[in-house]
Amino acid sequence: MKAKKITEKRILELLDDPQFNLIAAESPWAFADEIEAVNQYLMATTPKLPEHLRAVQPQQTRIVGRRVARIEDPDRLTGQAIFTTDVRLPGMLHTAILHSPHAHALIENIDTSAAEALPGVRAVLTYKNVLKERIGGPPDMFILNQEIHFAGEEVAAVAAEDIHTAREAAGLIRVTYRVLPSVTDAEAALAPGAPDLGHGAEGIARGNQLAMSYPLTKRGNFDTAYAGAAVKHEGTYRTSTLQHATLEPRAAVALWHGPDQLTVWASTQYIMGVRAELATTFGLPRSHVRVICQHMGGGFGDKSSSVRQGRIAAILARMTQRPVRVEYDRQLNFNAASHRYATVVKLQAGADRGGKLAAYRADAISDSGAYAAFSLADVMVSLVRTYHAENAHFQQVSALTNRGPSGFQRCVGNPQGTFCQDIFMDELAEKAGMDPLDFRLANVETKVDQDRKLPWASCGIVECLQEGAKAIGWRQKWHKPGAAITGSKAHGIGMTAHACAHGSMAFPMTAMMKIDRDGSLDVIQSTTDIGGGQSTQMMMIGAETVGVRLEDAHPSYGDSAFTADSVGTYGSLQTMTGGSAVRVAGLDLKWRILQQATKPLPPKNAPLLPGKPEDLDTGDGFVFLKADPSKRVPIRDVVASTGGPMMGQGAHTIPAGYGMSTFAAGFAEVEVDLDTGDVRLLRYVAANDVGKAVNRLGVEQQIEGASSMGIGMVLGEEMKFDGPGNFPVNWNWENYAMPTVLETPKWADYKPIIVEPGDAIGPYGAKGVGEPPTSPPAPAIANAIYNAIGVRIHDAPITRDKVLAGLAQIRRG
Amino acid sequence: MKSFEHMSPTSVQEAVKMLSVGNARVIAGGTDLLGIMKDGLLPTDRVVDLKAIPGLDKIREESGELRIGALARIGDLASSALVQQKAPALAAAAFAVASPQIRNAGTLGGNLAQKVRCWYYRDADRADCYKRNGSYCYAIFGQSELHALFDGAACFAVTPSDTAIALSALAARIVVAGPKGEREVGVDDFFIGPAVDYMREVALAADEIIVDVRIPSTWSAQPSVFLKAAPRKAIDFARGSVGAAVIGSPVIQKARISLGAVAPTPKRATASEAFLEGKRLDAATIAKAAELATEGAKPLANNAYKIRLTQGLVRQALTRLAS
Repeated sequence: MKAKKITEKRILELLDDPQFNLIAAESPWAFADEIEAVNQYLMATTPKLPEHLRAVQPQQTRIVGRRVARIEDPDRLTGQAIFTTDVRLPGMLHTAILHSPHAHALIENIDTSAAEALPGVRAVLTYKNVLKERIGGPPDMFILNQEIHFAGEEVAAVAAEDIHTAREAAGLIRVTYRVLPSVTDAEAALAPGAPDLGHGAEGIARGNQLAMSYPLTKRGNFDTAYAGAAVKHEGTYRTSTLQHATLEPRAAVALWHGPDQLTVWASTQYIMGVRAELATTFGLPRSHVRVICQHMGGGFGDKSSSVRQGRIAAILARMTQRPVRVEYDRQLNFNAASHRYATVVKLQAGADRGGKLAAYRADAISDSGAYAAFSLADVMVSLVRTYHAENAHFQQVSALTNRGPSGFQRCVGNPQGTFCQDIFMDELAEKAGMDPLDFRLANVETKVDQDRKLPWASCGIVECLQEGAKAIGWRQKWHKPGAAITGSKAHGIGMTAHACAHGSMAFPMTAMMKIDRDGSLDVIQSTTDIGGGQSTQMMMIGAETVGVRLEDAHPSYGDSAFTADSVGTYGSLQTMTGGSAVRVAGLDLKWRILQQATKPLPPKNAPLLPGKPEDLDTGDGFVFLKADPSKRVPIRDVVASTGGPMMGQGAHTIPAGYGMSTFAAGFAEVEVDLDTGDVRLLRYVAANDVGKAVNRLGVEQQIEGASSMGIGMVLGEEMKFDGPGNFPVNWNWENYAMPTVLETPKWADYKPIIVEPGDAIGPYGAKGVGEPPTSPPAPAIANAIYNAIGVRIHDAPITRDKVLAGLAQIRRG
Repeated sequence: MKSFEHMSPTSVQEAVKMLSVGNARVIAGGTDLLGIMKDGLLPTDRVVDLKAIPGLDKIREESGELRIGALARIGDLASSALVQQKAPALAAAAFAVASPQIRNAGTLGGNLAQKVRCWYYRDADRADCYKRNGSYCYAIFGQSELHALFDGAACFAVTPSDTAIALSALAARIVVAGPKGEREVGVDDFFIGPAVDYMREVALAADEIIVDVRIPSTWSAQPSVFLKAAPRKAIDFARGSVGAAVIGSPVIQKARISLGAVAPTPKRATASEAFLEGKRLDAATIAKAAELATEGAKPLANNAYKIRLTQGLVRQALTRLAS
């Protein structure tokens, strides 16, 4: 495919578009030319760390690497934290949202008169009276649509004095639907004769195939290499539609101050993105919109933009001149919030007699759901980078269907890709007559980004595999499939190797640092803290860099009115990019402190410390002479000597010339009950290359949380759709089987291993970790189930019905 | 939720009288009713709260029987030494219900009389379901993994109660109070299938309440077990369960086996029971009894797995009773 010419004007527009940032972060092959152009631009324009700041980098680390409890923990544990859903303002109205029972329908008539007549109702919003604006990510989606594209879609919103009145009024709205043909299967949607879901939006889809689908990477010659391979294997693998199931649903509270000042409390991962979106919706300067999200009750990718809820709240608030609160109910949140898209991947590979991968091909179809949402080309991210393959062909097609809109979910396409890839690799290893661990060690890519031909900025995949294998006892425990059955219980062990881009990516971000006369440090960051300990970690990096004690530092975050600017908290990129900005701002402030400490001061015209700035360092709240640390003054004295607080500022820096990636391995041990098909996860070891752990406790928590989501993906989670009606049936906690604490191993058997090779780019060598541990559990557990019962199951989730059907093939009739 | 009248009677007679007017519903723990009211599944003008009636929560031995008041909490059943000793299957079933919070609120009477969990019935958007006065059953052509292998008719929803399965294996009787006083009904007659009346699951008139549950001396203190399989270890309703009790060792004189989550009511495995009489519980006998348990099953599109699951559970239950 010929590269498009992207102008500098277009590059600057793209850089300013929050939705482009999202797509670029999550799906580097959609708009590949645009993204490449933006990347080149960023590489060329991102400042290198200036010499004077390079000279004041700390000599040793005192804070980075410690175990620190999140700063918000006391508030959260005592119930005092104010989440978006807790915000109550005087005079605030409550909103109920009516949804469509049909998967695909045209609203022929909508009668809101009875709802409007109900006492206490203040406004009713439908597609007729809402701003006609194509919104954000899915470019063919309006704030409310006349044509409904999925069951559960928002149809109307009612604002009333209390939620009960609002709900009753929503029930009084009479809608006449013309039901249209629908489809909830991606392969069926792409087949001839499928219902047309193209939405008529220009340039979005050809038929039901999204225009964003891309023919992807080609290396060498797959066909020739495959034809000549000694060992060949192919298979088809499927993953299901998964929900984020955030405890806090989508929510926003909007408050207008006069006609052109708007404050919105939003449950979001991206306060600056929501600010930009709402400014566009209402034609306001961005500085007139304030977005606040101090505490987040679960984002996991769903809340990367404000989508409908923030706009509905702000429009109703403007109509009624009252503060308005929108909180999705659980059914709406399951069905209308985004989800991880179902994917089917066909894999084909050949290996030589020694088990070395010679040819590798992947063809994926992903179910983007309704609207041209975020299902792009990201299933391939782990496939193109985990294993070394010189002859390869990777391709992904995305289809529109009448499932809800897909979106980003923790590690985005990688759990789908890695699930398929690592069951496949296990099978290939068996065909090649190799132990699964040896096969991975022989085939993982350890040196370069194979397509960009750039050396990894760090790579700990071999250590992940070796340390993880040691921790679970791989060499002692692995056995032939089906060879460890005692009574009605079968034991199995399995593993996964994984690499992805999450945690290694960088986008423009800024930070500020303010130190007061008492020596206390305010780390003013751009991060939206989504519960992953981001603000605490930024505080650690800030305190470390400036040289104050951790207890004298404080993070400021979560309010667009007084924090720095950034991209959102997604792609696990806050450590790499936000952390880099905080570090540069810290070095800037430190440089100023050292200047001040060596400056002659009145009345004696003597400096606080002798020597030049570069002779000094800071730590534990003091400035001291590197040569003689006993010669020191408190930082607060230096600050006080200026008469006021001191400030530093910074933007992230990226050294050019590196490939960026994170790496992981997962090891699972299971017990399968041959009578009932129950799968018990006995032990799980997650080994993750995090570059360097900034907050060791935070890293462990992220590995545990992400692993639990990966466990859910294979042991039970799946949105199910009614066959004839194409509507979801299990949209609640009861029937959407997220794992509970009883489905995950107890802590002693749930082992995070932190691998720290040190990254050439990340602050203090760190990379992000919020997402990469999500991918390995599902294939590791699937491989362990195979090892236990000797029957392969290719489709996630691996539920009781599939296990029992598998067992039926081999024993007890 | 719409407004409703809340009444707090202090005697069974008073409660029954209050229930005879309008769309009145009984509430005790509220773990099922409140969800139903929020989802608008049953019109409700009046809620009659039984919690102020004294003496209805007693777990005791009386006339040689184990007797349990309808207001006894599920959590108390699970931890009662008397129940554990006299009716181990019932204690195990109570412990298998939901989560600690729900067990601490929910009562035995409520657990027996709860509405079905069919995801179509519980979806307010599917108002044409037979059970909601409509004329369609979505499960027949739709997603049927929750649904019945046996005895489905207009409705294929399965009985959700774990304690019912144990009580069926223990030959319990249910004491029901109404305007004309009390009546006793055997547990297997207390539950009614859709062939009889698809609008209700239990033989309770609108103005009747469960007051007591009695396990006869013949079956109390006999070895009994309850096993349940569900997607998760807690919270979930059963996808398969079995209650089993036997009299006689090593030769079985009489066996009772009741299956859960496979029919609209607790489903007695009568062929297995008959087969086991006069036999010893060896591996071959157990295997055959398990196979007989699902004789006559008619699976829908997604629930055939319940055949194998139920057989596996019966195998495990009988294996436990054998040791």
